[in-house]
Amino acid sequence: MKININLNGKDLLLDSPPETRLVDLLKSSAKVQSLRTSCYKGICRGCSIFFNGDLVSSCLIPAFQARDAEIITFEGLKKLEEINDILRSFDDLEFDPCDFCRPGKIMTIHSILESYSDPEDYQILEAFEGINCSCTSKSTLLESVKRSAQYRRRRRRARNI
Amino acid sequence: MAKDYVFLDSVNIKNVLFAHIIRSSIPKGIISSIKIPKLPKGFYCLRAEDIPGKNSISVFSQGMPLLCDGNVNYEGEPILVICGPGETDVLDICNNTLIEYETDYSIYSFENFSRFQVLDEKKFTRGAVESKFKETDQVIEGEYTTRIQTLPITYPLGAIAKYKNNILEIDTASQWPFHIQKTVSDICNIPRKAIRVNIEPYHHTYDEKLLIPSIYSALASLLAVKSGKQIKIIAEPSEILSYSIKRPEVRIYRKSAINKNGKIVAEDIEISVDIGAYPLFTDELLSQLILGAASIYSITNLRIKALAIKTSSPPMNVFKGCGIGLGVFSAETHFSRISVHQKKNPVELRLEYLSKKNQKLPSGGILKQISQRELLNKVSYESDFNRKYSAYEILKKSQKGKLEDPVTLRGIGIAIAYTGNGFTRKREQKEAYSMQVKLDQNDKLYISSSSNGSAPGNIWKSTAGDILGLEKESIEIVKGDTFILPNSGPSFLSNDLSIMTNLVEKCCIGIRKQRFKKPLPIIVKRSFKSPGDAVWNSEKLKGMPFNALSWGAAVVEVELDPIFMRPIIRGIWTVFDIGKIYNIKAARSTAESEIYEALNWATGGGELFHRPISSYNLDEIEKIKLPAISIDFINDSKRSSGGISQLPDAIIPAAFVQAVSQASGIYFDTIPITPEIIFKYLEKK
Repeated sequence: MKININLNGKDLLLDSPPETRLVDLLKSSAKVQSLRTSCYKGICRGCSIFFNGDLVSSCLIPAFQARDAEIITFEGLKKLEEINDILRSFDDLEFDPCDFCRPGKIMTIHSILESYSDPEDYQILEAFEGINCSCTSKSTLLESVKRSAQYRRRRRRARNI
Repeated sequence: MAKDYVFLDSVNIKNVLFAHIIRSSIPKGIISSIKIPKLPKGFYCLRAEDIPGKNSISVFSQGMPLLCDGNVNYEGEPILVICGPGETDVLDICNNTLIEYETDYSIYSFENFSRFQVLDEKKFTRGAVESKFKETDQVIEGEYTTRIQTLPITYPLGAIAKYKNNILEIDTASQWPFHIQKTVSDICNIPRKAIRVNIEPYHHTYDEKLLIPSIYSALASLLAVKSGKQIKIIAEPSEILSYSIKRPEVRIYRKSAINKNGKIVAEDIEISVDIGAYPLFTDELLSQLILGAASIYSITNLRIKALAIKTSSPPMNVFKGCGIGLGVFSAETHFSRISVHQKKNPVELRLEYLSKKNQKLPSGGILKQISQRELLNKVSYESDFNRKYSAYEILKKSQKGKLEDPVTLRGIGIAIAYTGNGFTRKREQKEAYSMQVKLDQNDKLYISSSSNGSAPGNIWKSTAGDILGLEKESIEIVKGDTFILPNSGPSFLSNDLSIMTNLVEKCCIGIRKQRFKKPLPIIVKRSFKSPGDAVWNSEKLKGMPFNALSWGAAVVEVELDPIFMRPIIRGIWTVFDIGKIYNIKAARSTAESEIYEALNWATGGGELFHRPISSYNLDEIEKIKLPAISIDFINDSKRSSGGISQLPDAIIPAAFVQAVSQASGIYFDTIPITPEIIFKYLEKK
């Protein structure tokens, strides 16, 4: 089965067996290395991608549904300037998620910042529900999302002047 | 941004053969036939009879077969491995392989085990337990159960192996790379010096990387030797969950003799632990269960019996330490039960039985610096424990029998315990813990140890930097393999902090002495030696059990949601004394994460966030928030650090269970506690 996708701005034609999940296709055929497969139930969010603009768990999407989809993985997100808002807050707070959950956490924070300019605790906690990696503390996570939002607001304000 | 790490499952290698394990589908029986589809060219199959060396994965002279030798002893036991160039094709062959069994249906269960299932036994007696129980007026007893715990998240597990020019090279993330080297050598009949284990970094671990990587590395190595090709074997997440590590189910029966004056004069404790089909770390597990169950309270007459029970479950293993917390759970919950029976405040009762003069631990060892009293007083003061405990007792009595229409169901619990750094000293003594530090001509410092996979690098760097006056940038933690790195034994985070950081200090002091006197480079190697006279004796409960102890006390306050009986955390207060603290921010962050993990275990994965009860009003948006957690430290820089990671697991569940018991008015004696279990107990009542 041939599947056309736009991955991080590049058009790709991938060959996939029919029953493949999108996460496996991206890992094996598109050589995406930032995706983590832990639960295959859409809970752990290690395989988070932006699928036509929405943050989703790619383990829940059959590969065939990705036809003509625009997909952004952590590799693509890293190229955006806005990502620095998040990384700066990580540095400020010495927040250092492990290699396993870092891509998923940054993707989730980016998605929160896209939805809320000044996120409240419950909005952050709900977005992170299911991400179980306990390499970092939850209170520092909350703080770093809020600080990232601060940087993002500042950047947007500056852009509008 | 830090360089993105590529996990083994995402590593793309040309011409690699993918391997997949075929496991038994029944828990017990004899394999009568195996029918494998005809293997295409370039595909290989590995069975027990293909193993040139020992078909065994062993640790501390206990072990299990690498591949099933015909007798199946648990569901999921590896029977054979298929490898080939295409992942999908390999899976197809595995799915079409037919294994037939003869089964006698004699499954070993833990519930009502027979005497012949007892694989190992440890006993300890001090004083006249039997006679004290005969003389006594009152006996308080309870059975405390901690259920099997599985991994809440699966990190990649597996190995990549190749055999070229008579050197077997293995890439894997392991807490114990030299165990892999030894195991693969024994299994493949290849000398150790021809086996190179490249140590891949790893981060958070539940200790699944202690022994399991040896299994995958051995299988990959056997196939690499057989095929002459590079082999990649990666465990499926479901495989990791079911067959890697699990915290074993433990039942602890405790009986306390109380005399006329209300004094606890004797304790009789029987521990039984489900170790699964094969013993792995069983001796250590029993030792640490005894340590935890012996508690920190001075009871003159004490008898403990610990039994390792063989069942038809997959072999259990170490899971975030070696089980001391499971013993602590029974001791602390039982002590609170006694306080309720005696109508005493739980803090006062605990203070009454803490060592005063000799500062002697009931489980062995003399404490030079003692902080238990300070910990208890501090945590109860900060949480306002005494007032709340009394208020909730009154509340409980006023609501007795009115559970159908309760006003408020609140409770508070307390626990105190110590944990150690990894294995007990008896084991530690047999392991090599070595560290090498080199200062080169450019004043660059290289720290080498095989525990670099998870090394607390920043702590090692700042320790070395302080001693030698070097900037962090000029210090490097050497990454590498078992050919170039010294053997640093099994790596636990607490070991890396206590033993290994101490060795970094010693090496750097050695370099400082030689610096400016001898030409560069200066290389200093130091090994850890456990002081022989103080080695803990698990039969006599004498000597210090661990090289470094960490102490902690916790108070947990809960409110029961009267509709769904869901425990809602109102607050958690903790005070820790972990010896020298290298980075207070990191210690606080680790403590907080581990408290959530412990709560997650205690609630059976229940929702931990605080959701106000009023938010069941459908007009309101449910706004979840983090429970208030207070983390405090008694900073004792003189003692070497014992690490913090195991402490919350030991103290939080016990405090939580007591709080839920007070809130509901029902004694709970099991972990986890879910709303279903609370309902079940309520129905019984």
